[in-house]
Amino acid sequence: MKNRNQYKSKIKEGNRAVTAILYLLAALMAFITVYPMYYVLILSLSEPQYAATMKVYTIPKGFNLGAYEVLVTDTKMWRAYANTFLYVIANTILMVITSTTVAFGLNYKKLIGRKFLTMFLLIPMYFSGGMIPSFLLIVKLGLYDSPLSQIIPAAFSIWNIILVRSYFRSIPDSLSEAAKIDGAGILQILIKIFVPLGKPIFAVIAVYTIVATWNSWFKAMLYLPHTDWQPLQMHLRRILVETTRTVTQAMDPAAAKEAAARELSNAQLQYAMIIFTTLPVLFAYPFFQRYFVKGMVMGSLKE
Amino acid sequence: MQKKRMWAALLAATMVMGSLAGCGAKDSEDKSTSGGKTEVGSASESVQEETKELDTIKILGVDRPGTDNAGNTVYLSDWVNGDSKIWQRLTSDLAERGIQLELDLIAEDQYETVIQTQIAAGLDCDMVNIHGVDSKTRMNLIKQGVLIPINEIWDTYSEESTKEFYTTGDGSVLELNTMEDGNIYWLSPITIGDYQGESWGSVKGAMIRKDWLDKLNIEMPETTDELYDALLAFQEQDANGNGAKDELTRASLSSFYNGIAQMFGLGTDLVCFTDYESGVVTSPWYQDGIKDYINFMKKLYDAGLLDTAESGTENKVENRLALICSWWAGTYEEAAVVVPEGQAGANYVGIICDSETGVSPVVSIQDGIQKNSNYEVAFTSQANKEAVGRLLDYLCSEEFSTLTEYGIEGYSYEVVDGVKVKITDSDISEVQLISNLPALWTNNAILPRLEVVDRAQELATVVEAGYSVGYEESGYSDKANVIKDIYENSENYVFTQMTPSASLAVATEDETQRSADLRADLDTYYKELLTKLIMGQSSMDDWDTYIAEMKELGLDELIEISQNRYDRANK
Repeated sequence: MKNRNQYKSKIKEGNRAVTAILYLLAALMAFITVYPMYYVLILSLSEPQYAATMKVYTIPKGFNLGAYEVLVTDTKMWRAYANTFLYVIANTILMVITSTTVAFGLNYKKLIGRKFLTMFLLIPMYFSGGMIPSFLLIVKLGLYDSPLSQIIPAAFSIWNIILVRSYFRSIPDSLSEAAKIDGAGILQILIKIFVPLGKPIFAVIAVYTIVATWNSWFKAMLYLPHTDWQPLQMHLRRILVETTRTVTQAMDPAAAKEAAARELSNAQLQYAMIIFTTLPVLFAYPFFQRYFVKGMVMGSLKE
Repeated sequence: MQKKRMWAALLAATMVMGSLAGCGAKDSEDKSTSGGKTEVGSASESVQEETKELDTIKILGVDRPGTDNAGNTVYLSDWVNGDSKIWQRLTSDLAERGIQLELDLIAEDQYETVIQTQIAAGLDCDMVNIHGVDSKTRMNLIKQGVLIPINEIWDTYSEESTKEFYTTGDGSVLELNTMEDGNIYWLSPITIGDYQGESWGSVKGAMIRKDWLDKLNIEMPETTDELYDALLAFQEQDANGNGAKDELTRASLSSFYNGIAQMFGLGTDLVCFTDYESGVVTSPWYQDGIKDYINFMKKLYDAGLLDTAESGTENKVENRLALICSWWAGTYEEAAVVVPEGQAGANYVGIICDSETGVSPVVSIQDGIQKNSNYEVAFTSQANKEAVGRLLDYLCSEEFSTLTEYGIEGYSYEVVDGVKVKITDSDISEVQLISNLPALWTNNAILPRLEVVDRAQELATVVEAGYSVGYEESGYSDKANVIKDIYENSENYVFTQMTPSASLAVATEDETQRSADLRADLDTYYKELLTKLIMGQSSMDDWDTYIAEMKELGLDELIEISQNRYDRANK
């Protein structure tokens, strides 16, 4: 019995073999996560004919920055980049404002109709109107083909409101009451007490919003028929799926060569575009990572 | 206290309501810009002064891309917004007819979504590319009066020559678009092939590496057994010289359109096939060569000669494909094959082999005058019919065809000995582009193509393509000669319609629905069956059971529907 206990405690203290296995597992997980990205990177740097065959596994075969040259000189891509930044900034600011103000109101315990308002919010969170009704609504509101179609519907999230409300509930009532005694009004309480104390939750919803907006393309597909205001992900999608003219008719040799060359260079371009669109979020992620974890924990809080 | 509670309630309610819907109110002011168009294509500068007198035709279509020699992707909208001489010629030609175009151009990948959502919201254009709109929606649009009969327009508003073109001339092929009510609601692109005064379409079928045959001293196979031996020899003697037995045949296992099935006399379409000679609709499953075809494919499969990937560029690029199914006059397949340095380029040549069964092989060919089914354009009820009539005059003119296919004389083409020859060594992007492709306003963009192909010139171009890839003396003459023999000795060949649906009348609403219902199960069943038979996972002994099951799934009914459509088209 004693021996068994000793054995157990050895494992707890960090047996070398167990540690090695854990490191191995962690390394394996890291490899599974990182390698696909690395694979895309080396394909984007390889010569087009090797990128087309996808048989590049360790280091780039040949070295060709042609796809990146095409990308950096692509004005449509830069416009899409700027659009995405606009949507990210606007959505994040608006999301924090709407979530904070609504959550603050709902957090007020003596609020008349509080239960009704909460239900009013919860129902559409579970049951959406569907694609066609949403489309018709956007058209009727005059948002179709307008950049506002990417901002206004995305400036409000019921989930985030609930998240913020849960956080606000953890702030002691005594703080608000003390402020009231000192003569603070509701707006002052919101701005001078809840906003400064709510910074962590604002960071969480900001991160969620940034990532969601950065990756969003379907709303643009539906509501932005023209390329002017389309976001970066829509541009990426176009490069990935757009097939130029299907070569079904006999053409002259130059056309045939051109078609084949395009087929090859497009393969490389796809990978370069993936790298190009992922990098900002990839670099920002380490700084935001802790907020993701925090967000998960906060979401799990119960009253 | 009560006052503060009320105030808080009001604040929360305002935030909720405002965030959900109130924000939209702001944009009602922007209604004038909603649905705004990226581009308005109007007449060129030289004719802009006259625009007030021009009738506007508003078109919803695709912003078609093309690639110039520098690898830059150029869009139709770039032509419209830039200083494209070819686009300016189009607009000035139209202006002469009192028309200007207003364009709403949508990116190609997004068009299907946009057209469907815009139909739901109500179309706001005179002319629309209805690519991606399903038959049922098209019929609903006709019932609702959104689409208007084009035949009534050319009857009433077009010139006599236009009417003749569409009713008795080459354009009469569009009669296949006639709906149940006797009207035609959409225009399709038309290709007219001409070889020394006769109409000839393009051929598509099996093509073999002639350079490998020559390298290994093997005669061009004339029977399927010889073909098998040649394909085996390619592997055993390492035709591509990479040291591996990896020379493969690319032929789809689950489809009848792979070139090899046609060597056994089988039709190309997946389920139904229109007999080119008699007009009898049948199915490859009922044709004599079917069992021998499956046995031959099984033999190829068992010997490891089939490329089971069926698609993708890898095997082609890596110089492994011995036999493919492609356009016989195309040279783009070879351009993608990377051969060892110092060797001449790949050379795929069309091949027809007799099977041992005595069934004649068939050549899969398009009609000489072909209605293409890649896309269609329709006119809406808000269009000015008189202006549309004038537009139709232009669309069926030689002037439009030449501008679309060749551009402008002296700028993008020259006439040498009476033949139009494209200028290929220009520095100008749009000239480079039109030397490879037709003008960007056609091919699933905004206007239907009227393509007139001189097949003799096409063959000369095929030969010429070989000069620069290592065949300095002969060029690709082998490739061209096979096609030329078909044109000149057609009596020696049996033909099959490449795209059977192109010869069928438009399906009625009931036919559309029934065909869709039947094919949903039939397609799955027969594709799986065909693959399993070739791979040996299903036995040929149960043949009668398979046929019975396909009959139960409605194969005969599907054939009957197609036969009715064929008969309507050819009555």
